[in-house]
Amino acid sequence: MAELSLHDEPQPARRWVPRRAPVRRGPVSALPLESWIAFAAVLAAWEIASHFLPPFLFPSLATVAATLVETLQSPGSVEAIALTYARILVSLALTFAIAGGLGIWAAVHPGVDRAIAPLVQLKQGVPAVCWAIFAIIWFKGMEPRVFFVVAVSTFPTFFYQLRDGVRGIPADLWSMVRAWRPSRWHLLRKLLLPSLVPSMLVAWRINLGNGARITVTAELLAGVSGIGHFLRESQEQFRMDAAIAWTVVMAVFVLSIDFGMGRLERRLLAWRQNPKPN
Amino acid sequence: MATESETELTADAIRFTGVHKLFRTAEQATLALRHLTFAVARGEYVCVLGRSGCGKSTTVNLLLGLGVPTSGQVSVLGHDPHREFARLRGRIACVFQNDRLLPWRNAIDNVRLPMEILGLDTSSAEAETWLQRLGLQGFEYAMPHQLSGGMRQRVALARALTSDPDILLADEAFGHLDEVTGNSLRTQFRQLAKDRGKTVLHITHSIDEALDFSDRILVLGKPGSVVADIAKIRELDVSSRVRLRAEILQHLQGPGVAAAAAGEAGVPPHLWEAGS
Ligand SMILES: Nc1ncnc2c1ncn2[C@@H]1O[C@H](COP(=O)(O)OP(=O)(O)O)[C@@H](O)[C@H]1O
Ligand SMILES: [Mg+2]
Repeated sequence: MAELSLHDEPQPARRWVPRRAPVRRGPVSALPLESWIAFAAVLAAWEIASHFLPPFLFPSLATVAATLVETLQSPGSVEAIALTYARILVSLALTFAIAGGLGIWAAVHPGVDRAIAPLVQLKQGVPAVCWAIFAIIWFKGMEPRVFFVVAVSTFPTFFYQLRDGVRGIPADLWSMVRAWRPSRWHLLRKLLLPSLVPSMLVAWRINLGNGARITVTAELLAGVSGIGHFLRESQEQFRMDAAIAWTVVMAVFVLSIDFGMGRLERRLLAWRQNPKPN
Repeated sequence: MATESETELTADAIRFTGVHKLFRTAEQATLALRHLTFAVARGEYVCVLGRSGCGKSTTVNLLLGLGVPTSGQVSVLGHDPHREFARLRGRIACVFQNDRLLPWRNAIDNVRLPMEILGLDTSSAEAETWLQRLGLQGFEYAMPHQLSGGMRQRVALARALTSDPDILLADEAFGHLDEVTGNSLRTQFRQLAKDRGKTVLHITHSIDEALDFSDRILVLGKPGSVVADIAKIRELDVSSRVRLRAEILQHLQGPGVAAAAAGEAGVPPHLWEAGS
């Protein structure tokens, strides 16, 4: 049989292919029109209600806006906001490091999984409020208490997402990489972590809301510091406008981080054939 | 240690001695390899031919050290690829049936992967050269999903070649591509490997591919054992090629099947207890 020349394969139809590593800028996800309409309708209904009902139930939008500005300028509020945000993020980051690490370990060592999975399951059976009571009894300061309840409630999502993320790595890719005899560190850097990006993002987006809710609840119960403290004050003084202002401060935090993670997701997962729109 | 490097030099590139491989699952046990015995000398280009399910990929896994034989010995460059796993770092590479590119890396970064792991020069010059040799100029920064199947397999080929291994394995690496692309890639693979004096185990289920590309054919029966070892089959005239083809076909159909039908008579009974 005649040997084929090296270049007789028909040139593939030229597709557009970047010459440099591409930096993708996903379009800013604009809310669809319907969402805007629904949103505006809720605000309008509120505004109308404020004209017929007492202000301690439905303060007008203008009052709320004024209170928000006033709140942000009042002494101690910026510190309280920073404190709460920091508590949420630090607790989540620590829990992520612990639970994620254990999740990866459990995925590669069945023994570790057999040890930890039942504990996580058992934890799921205990009502969240019980953990709050344990936290109060076991720990003195506010910081360890917040960390404890956040860690307990966000642990399972981090653990399961990362464990199953590792399990989901195709056996083909494992053996391809393993055949080069990588160190553990290289296996982690070159295969595991890049494969786990989607799982990590999902876990963070779920747990951010959880962590924020639990942190503020804990602050509310303890009532000494953070946004929860001010929320409690608003409640005691029957200040609906202030309660809403503080709620906005929390919502902006969660939503803007979620938005940022959506952007990050589009950037990091641009290699996917069909990057899912947010 | 002089003795050690001596054994390395005198040893065959690849040697299987009485290798059995038994896969056990909860429901059943599958014998993938039965007393597989063969040797490949350095610089040889050998085709391993067998029907699907006869244990070809299992053989590759054992060579890469990713599996352990149930009994028998596997030796690669004088080392046990599983027990002396690290010894074969950078010395054996495989092109698999599917390209196995990392989907989050572009072509050139996929080619660089072995160099990063092996701690070799990770500048892109070498990787770029290989991509160019394989006709992928201008596609260096393309993501795998932007490339056609043939182009992806070229990237996989470049990845296997950049680390300059002594032994190259190709596990049905060209079988799923269309005729023209597959042939072009096979030819290129053979040329590149021969020019560099690599030892090659080219695994295929196609008799014609084996006849066209190898110096020697190992025909595997099912479960995997050598039923014929055919040397010097390059440059055949038409009639002897037809004869050889028929002979190989008979090997593939006949004895292997017969042996399988004869049951596990050839398997030492303790293997069935030992598990894999
Ligand atoms: N991990 C495994 N577990 C159980 N059975 C397996 C496993 N890998 C391969 N086998 C079985 O071993 C036999 C040989 O498989 P394989 O080596 O993949 O064949 P080939 O590559 O020649 O098509 C098949 O019957 C297959 O089902
Ligand atoms: Mg196979």
